[in-house]
Amino acid sequence: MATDSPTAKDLDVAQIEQICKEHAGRKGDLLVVLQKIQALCGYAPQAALPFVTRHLGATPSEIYGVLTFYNRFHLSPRGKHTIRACRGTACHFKGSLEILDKMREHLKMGPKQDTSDNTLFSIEEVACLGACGIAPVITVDEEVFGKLEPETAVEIVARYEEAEKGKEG
Amino acid sequence: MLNFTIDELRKTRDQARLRSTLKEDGYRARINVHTGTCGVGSGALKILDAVTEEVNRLNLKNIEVATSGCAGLCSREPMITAEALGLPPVKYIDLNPEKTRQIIQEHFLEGKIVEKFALGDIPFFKLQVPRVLRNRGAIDPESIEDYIAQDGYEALHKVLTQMTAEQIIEEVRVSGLRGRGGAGFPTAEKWEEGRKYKRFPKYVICNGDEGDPGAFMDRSVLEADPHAVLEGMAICAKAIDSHEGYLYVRAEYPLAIKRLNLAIEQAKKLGVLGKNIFGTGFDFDLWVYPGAGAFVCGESTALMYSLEGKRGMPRIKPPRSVEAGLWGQPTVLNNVETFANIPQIILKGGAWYSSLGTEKSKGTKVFSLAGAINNIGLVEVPMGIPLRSIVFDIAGGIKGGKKFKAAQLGGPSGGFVPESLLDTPVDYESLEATGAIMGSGGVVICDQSTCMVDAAKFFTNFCVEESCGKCVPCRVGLQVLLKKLEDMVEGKGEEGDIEFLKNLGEHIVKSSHCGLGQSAPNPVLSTIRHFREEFEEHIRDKHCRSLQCTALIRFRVIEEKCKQCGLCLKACPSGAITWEKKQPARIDLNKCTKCKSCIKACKFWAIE
Repeated sequence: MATDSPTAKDLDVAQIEQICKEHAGRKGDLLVVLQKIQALCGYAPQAALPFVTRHLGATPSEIYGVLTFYNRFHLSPRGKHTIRACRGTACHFKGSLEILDKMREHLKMGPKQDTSDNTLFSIEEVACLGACGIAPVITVDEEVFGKLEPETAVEIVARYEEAEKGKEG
Repeated sequence: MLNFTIDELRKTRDQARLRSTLKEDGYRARINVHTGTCGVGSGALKILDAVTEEVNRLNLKNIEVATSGCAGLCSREPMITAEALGLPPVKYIDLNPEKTRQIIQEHFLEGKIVEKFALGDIPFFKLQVPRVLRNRGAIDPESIEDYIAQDGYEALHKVLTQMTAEQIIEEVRVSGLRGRGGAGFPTAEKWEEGRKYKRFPKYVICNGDEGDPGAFMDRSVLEADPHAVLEGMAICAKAIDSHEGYLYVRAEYPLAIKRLNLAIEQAKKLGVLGKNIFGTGFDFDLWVYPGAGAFVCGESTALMYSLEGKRGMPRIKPPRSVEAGLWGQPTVLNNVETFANIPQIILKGGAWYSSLGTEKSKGTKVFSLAGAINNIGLVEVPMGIPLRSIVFDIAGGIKGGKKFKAAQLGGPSGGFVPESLLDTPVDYESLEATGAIMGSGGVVICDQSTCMVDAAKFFTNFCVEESCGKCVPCRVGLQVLLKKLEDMVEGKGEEGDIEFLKNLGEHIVKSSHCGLGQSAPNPVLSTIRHFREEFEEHIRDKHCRSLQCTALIRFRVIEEKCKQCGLCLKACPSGAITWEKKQPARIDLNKCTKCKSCIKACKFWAIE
């Protein structure tokens, strides 16, 4: 769990503890509990660790092991919008890597960086979104965009940026 | 409601059928907007708005506007199915709001089919035999009554009241059904093993962790017909005497998870799942578990560890899961499509099921077709159909008049089938003989713009990322494979590399612990087997014939091939191309950023 996590008081600790209590003594529910905590906080914060340990009986190493094994868990806060770039076979053959590169370039993100510096966007590569019929595909939050070119993908990201600027102004 | 009886089931069925039949004194017409993931991504929700607005504006009465899952032909979305009394049902494709308004006006107000927007009588649908997909796009997956109208839960009632465990398994044995997850293990044999062990509790698990990139069969089945899977699981539960079931579904499929939960809730409320089903005293309860993003969890032992809240790392078999599975108890695990086949096998008989197919592969198989083809979508075909027929008849051949190069089957565990083997019939054994596998059913078609070395690298990279890291051949061996392939696409390949890849690949196949490692080198081995000359070109000539590997492209215009059309000039974002009418184009390498825009724009392969 990342060291730059917000302190416990920024998080809804009571609710985290409540989640853990609902599964008290059931170590087998570890994945479910961590998924619920992530749904609540947007990521798996270090502050949740003692509660999971106390109520479920899982050791910190077991918890860390699970969190780092599965791709869907995140150890640091996420961007406001999540871009999921499909890297499945059909999308790959239709140029999904270039789309990913261009979006990263546009957001000034390094190849291993998963959240943009202004914390507006997180980019995730997913194995397959199962929408091969309209490859290459990205999703931004819940919205699906298909049949993309690198330029159109960047335009979509830019639209979200504009909308955010609009909100600030 | 407790003790839901067969009479009530049939009453519900007849009422639902009556309601859905178009008639003069009820709904006279129905517009079904297909809102699967592909549809929504192509703008289906705007079409739905346009339909609703236009129906209101024209004040059309007795017309039902409905939504349903994917109709199967993803590349022609957005799509609607129009039904009206006096007209045959018509699918309208490639819609936009304007076309939609015209269709509503002409089809529903004037009673004329709008031929120019209608989908013709294409082989895509004609050659299919929908069994698992029989309800797709036709029923509302969120309505249990709709499923019951299609004889839903009749089979479960039959096994609970008229059949012994042995009889159920015998019926499945006669059907010849084999596991649709890819390995093709006979389903009846697995159930018989599960029945034999007398340690309780026993578990039934549905594997919905469809992780193969390029595969979306299970997602579509779960989204379009969730009750069929639940009913299949309950029948299995009766056969092995289990009372608890789990569905492990990828977290990337939120709609499938939502619909399964809803379906379970509806079925329990009605009394066709849960406690005392149909008043027979048989209990079967189910839970849905969303995965957390790990491909290896599609492996059965890894999946069970994941259900136990642990890291999903496979273990060595034996003992097999039927003996010691979830929490060490006897467990039968099958794939989504396998379970979805069961209710019809019980109702229509194993002999009916096995009337289609080949000697060893019976029934039908669902495939998701994607890549460089005209008709992308989800299809269900009889086993034994030649691959060529799938590619050229059903999928409509290669898009843009390009040439077929290979069919990728089975994702990262599978392989590539070249043109010379396209007449191979689709069955487990024949496909394996080509170096590919049946797999779960993902088929991606490549044209000549796909580089086979790059494709091998792509899948190896995927397996490197997804290896659980437990055993050395898979964890380390795959990384070495990947490094060699990366060298090749960067022009650093050396003589002997191909033999090295083959030897190491075969070693990984033989020595890995689980199915992931044992099959991970398949894409590399099969591309070497069928496309060795491309590997040799990369190594010896530093040339990529598909113009994919940037490091091997010279970015030079071949003057004899250049048709002097100027398309590359328009495409170049960095002003590196000079061109004048009636002159071949030139590329200034000082300005060129190697973005390949010109290569994509050139229709004549005039840039090398």
